[in-house]
Amino acid sequence: MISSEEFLEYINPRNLYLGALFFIFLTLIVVAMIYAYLSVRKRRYFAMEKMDRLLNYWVSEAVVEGSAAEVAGLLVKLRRNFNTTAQRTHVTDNLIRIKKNFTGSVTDQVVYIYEQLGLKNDSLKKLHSLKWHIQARGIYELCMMNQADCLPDIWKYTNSGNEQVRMEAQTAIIGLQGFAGLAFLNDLTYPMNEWQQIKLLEQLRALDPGDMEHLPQWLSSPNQYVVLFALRLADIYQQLQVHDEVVLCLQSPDEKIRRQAIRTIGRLANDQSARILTKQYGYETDNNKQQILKQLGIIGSETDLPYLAARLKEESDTLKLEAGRAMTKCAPDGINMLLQLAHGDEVLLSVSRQIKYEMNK
Amino acid sequence: MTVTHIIFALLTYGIFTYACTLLISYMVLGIASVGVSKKYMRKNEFTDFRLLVASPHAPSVSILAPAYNEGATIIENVRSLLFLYYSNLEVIIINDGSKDDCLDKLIKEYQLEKVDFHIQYKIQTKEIRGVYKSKRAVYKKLVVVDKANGGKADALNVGINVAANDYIVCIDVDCILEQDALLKMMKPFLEETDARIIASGGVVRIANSCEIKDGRLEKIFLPENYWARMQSLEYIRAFVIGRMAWARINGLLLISGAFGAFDKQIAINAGGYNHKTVGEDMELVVRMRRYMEEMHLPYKVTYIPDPLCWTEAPTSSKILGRQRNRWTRGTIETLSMHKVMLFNPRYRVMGMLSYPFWLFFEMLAPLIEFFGMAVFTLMAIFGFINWGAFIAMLVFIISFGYLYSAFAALMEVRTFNMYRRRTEMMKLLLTALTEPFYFHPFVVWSAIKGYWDLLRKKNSWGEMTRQGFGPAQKPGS
Repeated sequence: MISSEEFLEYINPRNLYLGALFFIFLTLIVVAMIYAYLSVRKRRYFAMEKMDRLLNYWVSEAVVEGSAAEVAGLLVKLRRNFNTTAQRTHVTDNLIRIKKNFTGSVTDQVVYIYEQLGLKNDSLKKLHSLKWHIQARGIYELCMMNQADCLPDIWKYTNSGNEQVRMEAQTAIIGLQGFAGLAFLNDLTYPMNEWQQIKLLEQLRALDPGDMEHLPQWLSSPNQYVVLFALRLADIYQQLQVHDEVVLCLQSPDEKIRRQAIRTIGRLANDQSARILTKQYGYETDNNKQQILKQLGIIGSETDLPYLAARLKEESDTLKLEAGRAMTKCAPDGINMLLQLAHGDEVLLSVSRQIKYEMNK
Repeated sequence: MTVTHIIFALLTYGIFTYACTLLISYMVLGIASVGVSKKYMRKNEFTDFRLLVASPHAPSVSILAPAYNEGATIIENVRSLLFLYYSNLEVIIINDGSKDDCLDKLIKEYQLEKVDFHIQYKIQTKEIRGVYKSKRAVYKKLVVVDKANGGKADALNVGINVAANDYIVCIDVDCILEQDALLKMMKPFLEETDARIIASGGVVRIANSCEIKDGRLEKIFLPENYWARMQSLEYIRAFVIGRMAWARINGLLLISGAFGAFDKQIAINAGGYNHKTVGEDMELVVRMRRYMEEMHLPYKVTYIPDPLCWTEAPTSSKILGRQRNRWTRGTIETLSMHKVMLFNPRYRVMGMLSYPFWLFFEMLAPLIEFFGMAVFTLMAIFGFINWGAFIAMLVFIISFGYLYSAFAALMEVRTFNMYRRRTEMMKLLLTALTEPFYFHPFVVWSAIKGYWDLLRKKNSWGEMTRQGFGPAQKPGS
């Protein structure tokens, strides 16, 4: 250990001033960087704005005149206007924006311009970059510009170890191939997070699902995320043929999967569904019990009323409320039965009053 | 060695070690924030957040906004909340026993009627007088709860009890949210696969001097008022650097009460907001984390750097002083309530890093500074000061502070760059020059008053008068 005298030697005024000078020097560099960045940004902003105006004009010419080839020819001549990577990426972004805002033949013309300007090569270079964010961008650009010939290249990234690249590749495959692209689920070994699932479901929303031949396979996949996604597909597109596989998912140790299976069983309901759900009820968490009661409200009938009435004795008010709601949906006089059962029970009375309000709303 | 020598050595070693650790921790935070912000920007470069707007699979969200005597602005504030881009949403306004016409205005404007609603007291709260919903379908997202006055924490707990959705977003009713704030805020909850996201925070920025129309932010300007401008810099440092860096190592202890999203079930399991502290926002996050640690459940608390929430900062030393006084008391109370975590490996990052950092560099810092000043004054009186060494040390510390502020400004322009005019940035940097001589001593003094008030068991919130977002105030006007 050093003595206090030695220690004070280290922090003598000379050293402290040197340290301060160093900090001030760094501060000045940082301030200079701020100003340089703001200046560059401002210049770039005006340059890009000018370029955007030109681009919008050229694209509108192509749209009005229907002469994308001519316009692209002009653009090629004017390539010197956007020869840096940043400018070219900006042009690609702009074309993507324009494409998103139009439908029909205009989008084909935008794609034509993109190809003629050699921007596809840029995207391909990005696709093969070693940096994940550039690679993800390359995939995104190729997908947005309908470059179906790049499918084999993109496909191999659908099970990439990098989450962003993987997600972008999956999105691109669906964008380019629709439901057929879901075949990537066959080999997926990595997780597929909720955001990605929602994104893919939204992408698929407007498309024809076909017969989803792989669905049974996905429902028994060792990848729990694939199972969850498959259950959602079965639910949304009412895939009645997989009812039995969905029921098997109730055995999953994953609470989320069981919850989605409950929902899907409700959607694919047959004469056995209510019985299956009531049998499952005792093994479930409160959240899943709530979901079962919700589904019974949709698929149940008068015969389920005694079962639902028994659920009014549950400890959780949430379950009482859900059971009461289900009763009113299962039978026309469900509300009367509920009010009778609530007689003398403050909590049930309060629950029934809320349900009555909801019914009248 | 004489006693005087020992005391002197202890003071010198102690204070120098403390200062060095503080500087190093700021450097580490600064460096850590660069990586995490860059990753966030790259990850979301071409994300289309709008897909959550229409998706039936979007997580359900309840906004909880406590209101106390907000009659002057409540209609506009609620309207801006109803216009947020998010479909699976309910907006719960909790009238915390306002003495003004806040509730009457809401009833009239939104055509509310008292409804039968079964309240589940999952968390104990003060009496709820009634739940109101609109007769008009267009306002079907709106729920107004009228309750006896019990403070912000109690009002938020009522909101949690009434909320029907899986996630709660707690806000200050007078804050202005970006229209896509919820879309961005909910994304982290959907992205994680290895751990449960129990809470997520968003960056809060200062709206003073900004142009606001119909409850929406139209143009952003740097605050004209000195106190507000200084807070702008402070907020950039705290949010863009500090919290982002802590989020990177899953060590966040605080999500601003002005804007934070929580997993409702975990908030309930942890016991909801604690009304015995004035730092209820920090206390809830600490307790939720503690609950997860004690249950051995994998979890994360995330933060997103997008400026999503704009708030009005205090513009007078009086109000600012009250705010800092309260923040100090809140920090002390929270850390005292959870002292078992200090250097306790059972609580991992939280116990070994976050808690000690908060204790030594947030809670004790004003006390140590004040003590240092007192010792300095005494030594100066008795002629013990080595002025050369003292001035050198002061210059050293102040120059580091300038570097840190400049770095924060650089991070700001390299990320979301809210103040685009070079003159504004210049003004911000010039303001930073005054910080060590005016703003910082004031903040330290307010914190010391917070300690004093706590010792006197004074636990009031302190009146926070706001000017409100009036007509546009352009800089220079």
